[in-house]
Amino acid sequence: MIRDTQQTAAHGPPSGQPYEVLLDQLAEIVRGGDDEKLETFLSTHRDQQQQLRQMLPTVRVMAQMGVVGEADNAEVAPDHDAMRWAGGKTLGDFRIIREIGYGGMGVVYLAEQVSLHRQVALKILPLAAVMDPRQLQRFKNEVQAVALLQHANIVPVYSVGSERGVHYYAMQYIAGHTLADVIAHLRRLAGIGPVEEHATDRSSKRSEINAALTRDFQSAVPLGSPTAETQPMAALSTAISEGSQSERFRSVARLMIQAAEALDHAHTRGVLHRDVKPGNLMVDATGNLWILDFGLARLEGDLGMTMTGDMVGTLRYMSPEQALTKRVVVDHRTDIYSLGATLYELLTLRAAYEASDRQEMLKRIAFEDPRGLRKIDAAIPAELETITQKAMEKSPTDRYETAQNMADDLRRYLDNQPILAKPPSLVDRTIKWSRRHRSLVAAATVIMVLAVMTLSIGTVLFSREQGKTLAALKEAKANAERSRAEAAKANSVIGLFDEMLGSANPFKVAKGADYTYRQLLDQFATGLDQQLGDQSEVEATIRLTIGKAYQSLDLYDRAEPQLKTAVDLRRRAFGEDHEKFAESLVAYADTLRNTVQVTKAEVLIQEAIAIYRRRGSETDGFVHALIVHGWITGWRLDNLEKAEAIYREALQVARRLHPEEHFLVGRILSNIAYFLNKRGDHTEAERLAKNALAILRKAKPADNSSIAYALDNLGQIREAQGDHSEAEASLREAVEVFRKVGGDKNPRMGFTLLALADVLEARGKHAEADGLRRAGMMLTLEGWRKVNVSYKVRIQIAGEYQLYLRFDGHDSASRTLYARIMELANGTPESVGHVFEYVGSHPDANFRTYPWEGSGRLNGWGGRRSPAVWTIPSAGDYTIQLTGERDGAAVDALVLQLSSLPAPKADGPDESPTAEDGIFMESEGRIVVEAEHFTNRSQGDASWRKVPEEDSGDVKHLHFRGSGYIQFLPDQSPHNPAEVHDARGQLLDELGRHEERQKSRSTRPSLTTPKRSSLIPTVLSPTTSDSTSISERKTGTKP
Amino acid sequence: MGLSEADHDELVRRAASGDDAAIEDLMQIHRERLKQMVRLRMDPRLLARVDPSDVIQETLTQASQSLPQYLESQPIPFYPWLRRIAWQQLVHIHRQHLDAEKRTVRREQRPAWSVSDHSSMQIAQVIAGGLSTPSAAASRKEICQRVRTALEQLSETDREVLLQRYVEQLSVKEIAAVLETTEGAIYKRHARALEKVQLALEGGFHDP
Repeated sequence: MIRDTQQTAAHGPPSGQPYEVLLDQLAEIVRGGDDEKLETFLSTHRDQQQQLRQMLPTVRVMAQMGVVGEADNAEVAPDHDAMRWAGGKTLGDFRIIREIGYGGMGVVYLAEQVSLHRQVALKILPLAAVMDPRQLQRFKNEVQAVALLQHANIVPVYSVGSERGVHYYAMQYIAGHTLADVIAHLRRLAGIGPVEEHATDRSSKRSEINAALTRDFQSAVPLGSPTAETQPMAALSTAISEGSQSERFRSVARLMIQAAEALDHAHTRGVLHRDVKPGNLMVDATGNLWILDFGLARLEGDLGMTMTGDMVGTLRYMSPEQALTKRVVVDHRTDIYSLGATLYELLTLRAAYEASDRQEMLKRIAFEDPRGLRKIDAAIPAELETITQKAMEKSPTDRYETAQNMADDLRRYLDNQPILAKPPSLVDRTIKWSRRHRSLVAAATVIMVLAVMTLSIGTVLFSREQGKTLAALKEAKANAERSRAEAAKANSVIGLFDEMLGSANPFKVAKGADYTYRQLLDQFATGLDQQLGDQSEVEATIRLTIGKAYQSLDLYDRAEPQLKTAVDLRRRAFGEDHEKFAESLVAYADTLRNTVQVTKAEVLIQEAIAIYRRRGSETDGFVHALIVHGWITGWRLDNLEKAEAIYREALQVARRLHPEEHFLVGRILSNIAYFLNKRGDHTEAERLAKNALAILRKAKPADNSSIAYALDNLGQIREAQGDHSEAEASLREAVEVFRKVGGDKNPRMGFTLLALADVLEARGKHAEADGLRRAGMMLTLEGWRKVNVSYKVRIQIAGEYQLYLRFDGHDSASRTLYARIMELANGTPESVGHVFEYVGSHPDANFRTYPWEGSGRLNGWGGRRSPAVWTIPSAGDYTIQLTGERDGAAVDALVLQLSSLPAPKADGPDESPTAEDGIFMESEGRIVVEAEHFTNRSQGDASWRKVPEEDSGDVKHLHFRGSGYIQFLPDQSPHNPAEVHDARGQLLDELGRHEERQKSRSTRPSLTTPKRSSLIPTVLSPTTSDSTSISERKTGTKP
Repeated sequence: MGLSEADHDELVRRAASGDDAAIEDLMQIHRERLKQMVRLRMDPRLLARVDPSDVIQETLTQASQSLPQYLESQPIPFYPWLRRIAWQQLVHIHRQHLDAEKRTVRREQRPAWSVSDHSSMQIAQVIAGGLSTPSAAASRKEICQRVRTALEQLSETDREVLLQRYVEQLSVKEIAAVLETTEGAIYKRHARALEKVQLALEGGFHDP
């Protein structure tokens, strides 16, 4: 039936309006709900009426989908409450009694464990539904470890399980209140607002929780109710109201001892809590403290959940090491910190840190000390203040070694014995502060010095203007001397700053420190704007330094404005014929080439070189200029010979300036080796590359990246020589060095990973190659503006990556990247050619393709599995049909039509191709089809029979321009050549090849699809008479 | 919606000439459709945390900002343009919430989210809401299941066309703009996809 309607449609409907258009109109009318109109419509299109009527039920069902959207939106949204369980419902062995709590990690119910007749607290974990089995298993392991803990202050876990996809966690039911409730209550009594109120708390969920808490709290413990006497909360509040503050603090200490000892019990058994906070500490009617939710925090971490506004509360108790890095390996001292933060809040009734947003909170936890406890409340005993501060030390090594130690100190306080922890002296504090803020201190100093100096220079100028009298002249002289002195001082500070920034390896520093380093730069850059006018030579130097520092961090976007200003300032200060000006030009050009503004970079670098030459200046500055110029010439302009010549000149100069074993010599040699290799002189390239590597290893540069680059270079040269094993060794070492320098995500490593992947591929290590390739593409793209990769390579990588995204189902991400590729290509003919190489495989390319006249290879599909490769034997039109298997059943799934151009063409109606999953592609000589890409869509393992076998016959590699079209076809529907033909017609139109299209109209294949007689592995048959038939050739090579 | 194409064009023209009321009208007209789109495409897990209205608000704010630029050239019809901004918002939010730490290409399993994957799930809900008469309610569940199965088996593009046509209520012209193809192609694809759904509802559909 389907076939019939389609063919009718393709022939063109007799009623004038195509069936498809009528069907759409039908849908519109059905949706309008006007039955009369519907009948009129159907009778108007009598000839198609039967077909349309057939579709009517389906159209009605589909039309329903839209109606609801307008009628009642509320019904569509998943009801959040629907996830809650009503009382009486059973879940496995548990019968829900009522809801008793609700929080980020799930809803807690009071339930009865039917088999044991006992009451339990049952936590339902909605998040578990989105965990993968591995995460879930890890979580279960953790819970099992917790279940083994037996301590009077740890809530026993009975079981963890799942029932009908609902994951739950059953524990002993404790009737009582959390310390968060207690604190809130005490705050209310003390007349302080609730802790949780934040400007960011806008979510309805948050207020819901608050409301629930309040409700719960009020119903359970009516304020001032005498029956609440036994409640610890009431006891504590009574202590306050009676003015017995010391008793209150002693109560707090007793509670914390229980908590600390319970934590210690868990810690000695290798279990961390990870989320100690008032909300997880519960006090029952007897005053016994219970720790809840051991290990549940891991679940959140595993899910990589983004903290939303209502999780800021939890952040508050997070340790500095957790705040600084997302995935730090935490140990038991993290729990000690959080217990300290809890203690802080219990004592002061204030959070240790308050912030309006997450970033701010993390920053404060990481870099600021909480307010002194006794400054908030002078009644707080000094011992407790010291204990709290000790527990909350920034550095884990400064905290209590064990939770037991903390408990012991608390007990000493209770027993009126001297505690072991010592309050830090002012000197300690200062040292600690400056240790954390070392860079900031330096920056502040520089800015201060600069401010003074600018002021002095300003005075000098002013005095000169007015300098008519001797006194004024004297004053001016004194000023001048002072300003010289200040300038010298400033310069020395700048020198220090320069050294500090220059020697710091931006990748080596820890993430937290890196944050400071960048913060320093940003702050410094901003400070400059405020402190200086725009007339200072010194400012130029500083901006140059800052710009270079940003460069070393690969933050080219930030470096650019700094360097641009430096260029302007130096032009003004020194004129256009000065090395200082040239130096700024080189730095600026170096950044521009990294932000793909290569044309501009080239102009500037030539200007700089001209200055150095005019002035006969043989300096490192000149060498750098040549290096940048060489890079631009070689990578961007593809002029390998010229690039080599430029590098050789740089080498000569560098050798005159430095001993052979100098960093610059090594770097230049490595570059020359690269270009030699590209030009085919592998032997000499290898010699130079080895030489370069040896020099760099001896020179011990501050940033080992240059050694890694040299290794990478050597590896690629060896690969070019065909020595895969040696290549692999070098590249692996390069990766190793990159890792040591910048960790697993060092963006500079991306390209090396790709090269290594190629080598591994060649050595048959497909699985590893695949992983590395993906990682490499990822890194390269993430460091889009950071890595010195030529734009061509970037486009190529982006194209490949885009395909991965697409085939992984990230269609929209793929689209975004596609847009980015087009943007990057920026319209230059050469680059567009490269883009088009990939555009053909873009999802939007279902209906579109582009001309690509150049040569190249279609390898955009990556090497995930061994691809099927055809070599096109001669010009002509081919239809290739592939058979494959899916779910064990043979499917004839792939139709590939290749046409040489010009080609015969038939007419097609004015429609675009209807290929499902259709892909146009263009290629020269080779068509590479990879089955893997289709499996994501077919959700099965397709195995494609490669057809034809790699032909052993002497295949002529003719230049071939073609367009192809891949189509998934259902089992029963044989490929329709007419459709392919029409698609191609459309393609020709789009290419503007209207003549060819006209010519081809006559050769449109018949619409009657030829039945395939059997599952032939592959049919490759030319559809034009003048080309060599594959089958003929086959018979020629095979008996 | 409820507005002829000519009237709509007139609104766009007035908006282009700087008529604030027209801009406001334009945004309002498409608001519900946008909301439907956002709800359809948003990962169910996100719905608990992010209110679709916020997405819409953000979309409209952004749209107002880039409206002058759009009106200058009008490369695509108005609604598809608006929808594209909403789409970008969605992608952004999904990334932010669900994909943040998971974007490692080495990962073997399916991506953490895929916008279109969830649409067929939600379709079931949407339909369940739609068949609200008592008689329909009985077979609601079964039809739901069938439609869902059918939609799941469709190719992505087919499914997209149906979703956009029926749930998002885009016109063929608009769908063509969104998918960057011709109206002819959409007509044809729509028909084919419907036929497949029909087969599935008749119980005769199987894995292609």
